[in-house]
Amino acid sequence: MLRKMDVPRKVLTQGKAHKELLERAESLGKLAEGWDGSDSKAIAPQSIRKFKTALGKVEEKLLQGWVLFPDAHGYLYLDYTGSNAVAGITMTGERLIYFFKKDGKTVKNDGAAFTTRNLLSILERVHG
Amino acid sequence: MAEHLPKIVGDEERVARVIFSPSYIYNGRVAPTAFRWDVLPSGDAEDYISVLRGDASELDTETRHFKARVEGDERYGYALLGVGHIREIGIDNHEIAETKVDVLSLPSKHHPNHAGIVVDIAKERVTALTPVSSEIMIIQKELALQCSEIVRF
Repeated sequence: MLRKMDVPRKVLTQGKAHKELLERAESLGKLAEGWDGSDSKAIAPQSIRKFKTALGKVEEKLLQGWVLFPDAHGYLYLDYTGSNAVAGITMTGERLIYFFKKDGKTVKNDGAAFTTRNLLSILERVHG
Repeated sequence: MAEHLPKIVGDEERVARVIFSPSYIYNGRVAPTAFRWDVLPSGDAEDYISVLRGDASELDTETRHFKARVEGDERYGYALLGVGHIREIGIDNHEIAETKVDVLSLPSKHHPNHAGIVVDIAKERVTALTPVSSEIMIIQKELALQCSEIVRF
């Protein structure tokens, strides 16, 4: 009988892409109010926190090709350009607004809840 | 220098989107979010994305004097886009209903070569007050992909 500590767990490899996105999120979190003109807002701490939490549960291969940018509304924006797809995910504190174009098809969504599960699902669909 | 520019922005012209914040560039990629509609200090919401017309030497001279958005911050440069390609964005995206993207001449006192990228989705003009949507994000992404060159200040 397995004891609790013997239960095999999925070990995530966290490599270069993971490290870069984590560092980038921390760097963007330091942008001050007005960083791109008087109407630009600092990135919402909730967006940074949720993104970092999700990042810890994503496999390295799903992060390849993604770049993190700031959005002057105070959001994080995850951008993807690949050989057969492009995608964008706006991460507000509460919602994920996203699109991806893949194999000639476009998928759009204007309001999924910002959960680790939903973010993972989008990354898997873009890479899958 | 730019007083001679025709009132209609030609398809063969290139326009420059000035990028102040270095955060909008990463590994040579331009952020789609760099193409944004500003709320001016007066409170007015722009209904266009500001760009400048002109050739490289004119733009270099003009932008040399631009100040950083935040005092002491680094200024990045500008990205160049072909006007004809910008206008094709609305035509190529059949999955976005009734979308039109155009470039209009909007000269100002200080910048006679000022122009604006205007976007209409379902016959509504996008402004700085329009909430973020997947359709706007697709257009911003297309604009970022159209950047043929990034020039550092």
